[in-house]
Amino acid sequence: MENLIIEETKYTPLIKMDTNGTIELVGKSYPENTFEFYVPMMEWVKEYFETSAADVTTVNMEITYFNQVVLNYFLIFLIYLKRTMIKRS
Amino acid sequence: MDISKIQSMVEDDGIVFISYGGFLTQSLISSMTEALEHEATLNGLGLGASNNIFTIFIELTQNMMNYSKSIKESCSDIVPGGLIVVSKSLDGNTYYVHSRNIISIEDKIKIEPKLQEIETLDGDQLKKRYRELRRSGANTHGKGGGIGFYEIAKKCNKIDYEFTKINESRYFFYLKTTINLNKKGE
Repeated sequence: MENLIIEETKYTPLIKMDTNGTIELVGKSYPENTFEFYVPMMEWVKEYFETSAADVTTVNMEITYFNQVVLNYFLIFLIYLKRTMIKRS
Repeated sequence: MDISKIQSMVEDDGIVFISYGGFLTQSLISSMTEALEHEATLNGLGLGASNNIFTIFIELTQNMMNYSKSIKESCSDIVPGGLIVVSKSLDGNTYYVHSRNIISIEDKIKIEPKLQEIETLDGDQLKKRYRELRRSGANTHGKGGGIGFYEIAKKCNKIDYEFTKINESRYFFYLKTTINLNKKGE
């Protein structure tokens, strides 16, 4: 499985997802089309936990600003992580 | 455009430092937020206050961008566009974000009850209502004008709004938010 890197723009964060177990989101987030923007990240995370997750996964989110639509996606993301954590523990 | 309204908002509010009228794009919005950041640094606004202004500005402009799109798709008789103005009082203690755009009657029917409800809520009730909506997943259609108005209301001291009829299917939607730095901003 390959790492996923999406470069930062003025209104979307840097996304760095590494199979060594580090997931990073840094920057601002108010995309024009939130759904399209977050699809690759969500697909990567699902594949990662289903096929090739490291023993320990660290998620680092440093988002200085996000809009209300993005909050929905972050909540979906965090709930998914929590459920996965419970399943694996 | 109602020129007298633009003039009066400028005269009432003192200093205008962002003003844009026309078709909104994502890159325009993000460029204007740079001007907001500049203003925040220049005037030593706290993180809380500048974040409130930033949030309101982005929710409003992204709303306008989305409503413009829906009008463009459904109807070609009115040129889509909006007006956004950010200003402050002469003493620098109060900031205002104004927006004015054309919406369809369908959007008016969705927006108006929300704004009417918000008017009746105090700070704590507003927070409670916001949490309810957030939990229920209602208003999460991914476009503008959902939970955004409740978020805007949380971040400002006062919302004024007005719908002016253009014809059977189109309205001007004018919204003004007031942000007092002393009471809520910091």
